[in-house]
Amino acid sequence: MTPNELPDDVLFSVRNLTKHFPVRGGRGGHEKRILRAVEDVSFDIRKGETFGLVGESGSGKSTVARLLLRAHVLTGGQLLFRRGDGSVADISAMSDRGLRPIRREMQMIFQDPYSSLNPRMTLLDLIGEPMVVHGYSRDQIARRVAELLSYVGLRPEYAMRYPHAFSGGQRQRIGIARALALSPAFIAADEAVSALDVSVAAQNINLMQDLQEKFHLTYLFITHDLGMVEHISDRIAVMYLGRIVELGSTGEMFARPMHPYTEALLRAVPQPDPRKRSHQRRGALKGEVPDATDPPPGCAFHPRCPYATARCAAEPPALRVIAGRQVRCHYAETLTLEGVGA
Amino acid sequence: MDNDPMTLPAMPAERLLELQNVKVAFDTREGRVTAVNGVSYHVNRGEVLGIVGESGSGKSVTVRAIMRLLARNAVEGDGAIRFSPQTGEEITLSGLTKDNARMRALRGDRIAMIFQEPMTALSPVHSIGTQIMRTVMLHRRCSRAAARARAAELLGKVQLPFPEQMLDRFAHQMSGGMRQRAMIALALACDPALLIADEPTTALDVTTEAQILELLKSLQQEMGMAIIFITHNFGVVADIADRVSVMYLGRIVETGAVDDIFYNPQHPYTRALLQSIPRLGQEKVRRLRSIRGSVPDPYHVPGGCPFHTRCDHADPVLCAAKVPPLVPFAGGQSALCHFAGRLPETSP
Repeated sequence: MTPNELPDDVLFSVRNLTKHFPVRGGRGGHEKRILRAVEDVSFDIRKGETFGLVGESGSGKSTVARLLLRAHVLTGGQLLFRRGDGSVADISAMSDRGLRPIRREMQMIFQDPYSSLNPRMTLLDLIGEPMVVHGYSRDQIARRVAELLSYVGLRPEYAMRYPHAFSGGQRQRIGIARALALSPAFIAADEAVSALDVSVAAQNINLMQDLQEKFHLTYLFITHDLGMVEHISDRIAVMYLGRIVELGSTGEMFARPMHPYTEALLRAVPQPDPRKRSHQRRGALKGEVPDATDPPPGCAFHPRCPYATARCAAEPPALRVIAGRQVRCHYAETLTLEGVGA
Repeated sequence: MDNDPMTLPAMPAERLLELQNVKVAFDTREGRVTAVNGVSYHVNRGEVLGIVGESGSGKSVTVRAIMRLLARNAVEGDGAIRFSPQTGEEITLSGLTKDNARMRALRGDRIAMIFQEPMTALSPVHSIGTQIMRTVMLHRRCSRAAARARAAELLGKVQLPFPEQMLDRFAHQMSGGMRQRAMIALALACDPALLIADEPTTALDVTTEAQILELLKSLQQEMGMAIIFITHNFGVVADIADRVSVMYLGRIVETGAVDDIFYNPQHPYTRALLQSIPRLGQEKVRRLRSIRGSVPDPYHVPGGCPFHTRCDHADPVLCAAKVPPLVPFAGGQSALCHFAGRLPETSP
């Protein structure tokens, strides 16, 4: 796709994104292998939406986020990003220097509110740091930090305090304030509430949704918590071993999944409802995620799939569009899978 | 309340463990901080008690007191912890030191524990087999060969593939789910009467979590042990527990049968927590219900009812001044709240 072809409502276009990491294996580490962390991943993120990315650990979801922000160099594929002025930038192979003005429009919120904040910096320094990099004056920074603190529900007087004085939930808000510092259009949140207590996670999710409305933000929301992703996302992509296996709008996909892996994930979630106990675990997924340096032939999910046939072991399924849904399964049309819902 | 174990009435035959007014504080540089403030609960033989609470509620410190594994700066109150490995035999654990011979004989034999992070709980320099064999040989005085056979049997029980080969594996050679299985095998080595599980599935993926929960449930039925299952996840507790206790700031605020806790909660904190979790497949709401503020830090626990600062139903005078009574309900349910039984009906 050329940048001019990007539909108006798309903020981020991801085409055939691929990332391979070289790893050393075998005895003494002499054997060179390739870890296919992300393999041929394509999706569009629309302006103002929350796009959810789910999958088990090792599925490649965090790598996708880091690639979008160009924290990694791409092995292959194309990334188109619509800038604030409406122009479209191809950032797939852009140099760091070329990326600098674009980086302020895309930010990240991290999982661990403890390790992602430097304990020796005050909130003023932490939240103001992106502005220092982008050449703001000290005065401007102080005013902006006070404003940002109030946006995330912290008192502006806290600017001279250090992170240790804050709880996990408050630290996460500091991370959100820092991400907002340069008025970005796009924020990737990698497991942003996974480490928080239930009541605090709910507060922060509400805050993120309020901020989204206020500043017209677009979110990439990565999590392994399917209840949370269902609540916050408009559309969801499910990843398995570096590939998208299913992509669609949240409600439809969770009500009627088309890929057996999506069904298995939904079924595995323990429901806060003791009456559902008896029929909950039928067909819990067997085994574990295979080694990404040595993925199974055919469909990568076939060794764990309750519906797999000989064809699945031999022939890798293509990602096909069925009724507005993208599915990577030979039998997507014929399987009737169980979702969740009233 | 008189907590002298000598004068407490004997435990009923079905009772395995009983905690009476357990208090634990820690002396720190900043002063004394109370982590567990008068906790009473019991576990019957063969039942699963779920303990839910946010971080800092004291759920882990309480079970460490049971295991007699509290840190050196811990200061205990005069509460009683009594354990009955078999009917008629009653052992008072409170007061026993960490290295007490009686306690060392019980620990790993009659009471065992599994943790959230098996990588740090398992030894990195001993094979899985060695760790299990040493536990078996310590408590059962059997030969190496018999212990090795038992270890292989246990690894099979926790459904690890090729148990004979797994004996010689080290923790770092296994995946997170396999390590958790190995740790369960180690804990079950001597067929304990009580298994304490401290957030054993929190670090796992949902699919692995489901497998481990299934495994624990089937082993529990097969071996008949009781489990204290600590978690902050209401979904997990709904899946595994027979009864549930909810903790907040060092106190148990509500206890009841699992169905009562989920469908008829009587404490405002239990209700608020249940409302703040997004449920799969539920009608989409714009905002999640949350609890205002955050858990107070343990140095500044509010007086009166510890939850009154965040409670929607609190009376500013009564709840701030007086510790609420434990109000009993039918079916063994109880709630620590001035207004228990008088709160407005909630929609489920």
